[in-house]
Amino acid sequence: MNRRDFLKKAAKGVGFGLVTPYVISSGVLSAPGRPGANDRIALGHIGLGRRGTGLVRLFAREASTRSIAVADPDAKRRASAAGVVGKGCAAYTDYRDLLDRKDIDAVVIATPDHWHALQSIHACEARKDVYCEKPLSLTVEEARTMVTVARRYKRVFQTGSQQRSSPEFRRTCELVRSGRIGKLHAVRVEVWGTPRDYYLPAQRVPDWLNWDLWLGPAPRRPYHTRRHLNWGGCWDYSGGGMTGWGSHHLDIVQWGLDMDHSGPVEVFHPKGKAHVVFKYASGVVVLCGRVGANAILFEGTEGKIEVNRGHFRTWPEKIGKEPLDPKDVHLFKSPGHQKNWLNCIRTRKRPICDVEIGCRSIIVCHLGNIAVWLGRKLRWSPEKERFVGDELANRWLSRPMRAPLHL
Amino acid sequence: MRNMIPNKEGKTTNRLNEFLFTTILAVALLNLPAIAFSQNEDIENLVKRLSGEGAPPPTRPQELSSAYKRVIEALIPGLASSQSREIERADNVLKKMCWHAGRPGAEAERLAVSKALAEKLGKDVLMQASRYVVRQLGLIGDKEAVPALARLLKSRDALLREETRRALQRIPSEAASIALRKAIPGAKGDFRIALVISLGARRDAGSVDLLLKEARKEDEGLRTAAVEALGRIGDARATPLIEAAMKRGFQRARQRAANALLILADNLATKGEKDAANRIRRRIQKATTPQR
Repeated sequence: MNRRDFLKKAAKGVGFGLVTPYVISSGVLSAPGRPGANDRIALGHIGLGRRGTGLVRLFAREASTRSIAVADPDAKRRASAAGVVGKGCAAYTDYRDLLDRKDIDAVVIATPDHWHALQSIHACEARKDVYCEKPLSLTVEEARTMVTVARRYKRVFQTGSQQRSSPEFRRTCELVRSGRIGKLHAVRVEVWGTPRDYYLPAQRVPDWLNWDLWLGPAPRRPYHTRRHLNWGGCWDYSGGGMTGWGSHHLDIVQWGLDMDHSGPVEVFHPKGKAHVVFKYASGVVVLCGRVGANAILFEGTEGKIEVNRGHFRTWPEKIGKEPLDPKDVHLFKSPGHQKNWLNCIRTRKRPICDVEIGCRSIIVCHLGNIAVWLGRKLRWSPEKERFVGDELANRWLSRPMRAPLHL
Repeated sequence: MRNMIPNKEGKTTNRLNEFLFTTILAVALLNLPAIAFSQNEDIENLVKRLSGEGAPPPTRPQELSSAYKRVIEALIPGLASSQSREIERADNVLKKMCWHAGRPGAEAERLAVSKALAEKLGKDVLMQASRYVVRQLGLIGDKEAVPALARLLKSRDALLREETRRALQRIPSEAASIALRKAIPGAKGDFRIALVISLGARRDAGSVDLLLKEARKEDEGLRTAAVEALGRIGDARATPLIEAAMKRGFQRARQRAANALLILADNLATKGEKDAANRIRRRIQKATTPQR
């Protein structure tokens, strides 16, 4: 059966045949005429900016994968990324064309933040496993929907907060959770920056860019190079530094606090200060902003641990040198963030930064931004994922998308 | 001297004088914001007061309303400006004032600013300025803002219409649902689809009958949007229509209908209608023929 015949047959069976959430990707289950578990996982790449192209290169080094398609509304980036992969790589303007391909097992999403939720959801619906770059979402509602959909279709979904796969961060969390710095009372996190609106005049849309597709679910705005290239500071497309770096460092805080399925209960932005304060039910206070830490500083009654990429320091020094006991908390040792995802695609286990974990971490970041914008103390229910006693603050948990796109 | 009595510290106080003094002080304190507010008050100062940065805002409803109207009136030229910096300056003031008014326990302020904004959504305000006003109403407006927003759903300006739809989608009041529902018969093309999507996003049970009609339309985009909205609302009556949509049109539309059926089953289960949800799931499983 050639691909055309297969698609024809699949189209006929779309009614119920494709509705089942119990189907896993073609490269995962062995069947006559289909690649088996020992075959390479076929990848599609959505979003080909600096990070997206970096991931194309990274996965190209993985012997267990083959990248067979790329998609981006920017023709220059498409051509460049397809060139990295080489012969046989299809290039699409619209990611939905990539998702229509039945021979793709999994997708790597590295688009601007405002696209993450929809593309991940559409990928899950198309029965693809997902590696989605951080920050996971633009809103709380998006993040929660991503979890719901990934579960509905039984997808393996890795959030790209790759510090979870780094030994220094794992060791820090093991020590904190094992009580090596005594009772944890505070964490300082060097993450700051809320996005703002851009008020920019219209410029001519470059002929190599599909601007409408780039905007996607974001409000229709005229093209401007700053919107296109500096989208990270604009709230139509991003949560700014708070979500950009928060989805790394606050993710580690959540891990260290053993809060992967919960979150803070209060957040506020002290007037005139460059930080927000998160309070957890345990009494731990997290100061996030310009707080003088080298990334993350855990402070306990008997010591402190500071961690950043390639940096690990403890006070007293001996805390960092003593090995863990068998009775201590031992966290999963990831073989590498991408490799862990690929392994999980085969085993159907949940990866180290599963979408639920990514969801909980990005929610913390969103809470930080909302606290800055609203300038008032907010009480948060991690169970209900709603603000308590502040209905107008709850309107900030979602953002209607530009029709016809919707969650 | 009359009524001289010793107090706790052993000093003497004139009871009458004390009573008069306390009464006057209390009246003065209670009316301080009102006294301080005047029609000639500097706009910048007024903005500070309404944004939580200066003295408290006026407490009397009329004065509060008047204060918001004055500030909004002063902001409109900036919001309608062709200069990016002017727009930014005015919009930032508007945001700060609105978000402050939305805090818990300040219903009088929220209501006053919402009414003042809604009143500006008339013919004398440029479309561009209206878009910024509408955006804030989506965050702090309630039923009092709905009539003015509902009128804009018929605006000739597509951007303003879309901004208004998004604002109404965020307002939890039933009045917003009714406004969205009422706009559907008169809307065409993409905007009609957008309205249907909003009702689905709101999980508006009151729109099921309307959506069932839309789900029978020939227009594939509209039909699909209605089917998806019905799935989100989670009403078992939608099951046959969604199943029918799974057999019509292009593959992507059929796939979206199939997803809507799964969402419907999940939502029915969440609502406690487990039998209906399980019936759908069993049909899905039964009909699944392994093709792989």
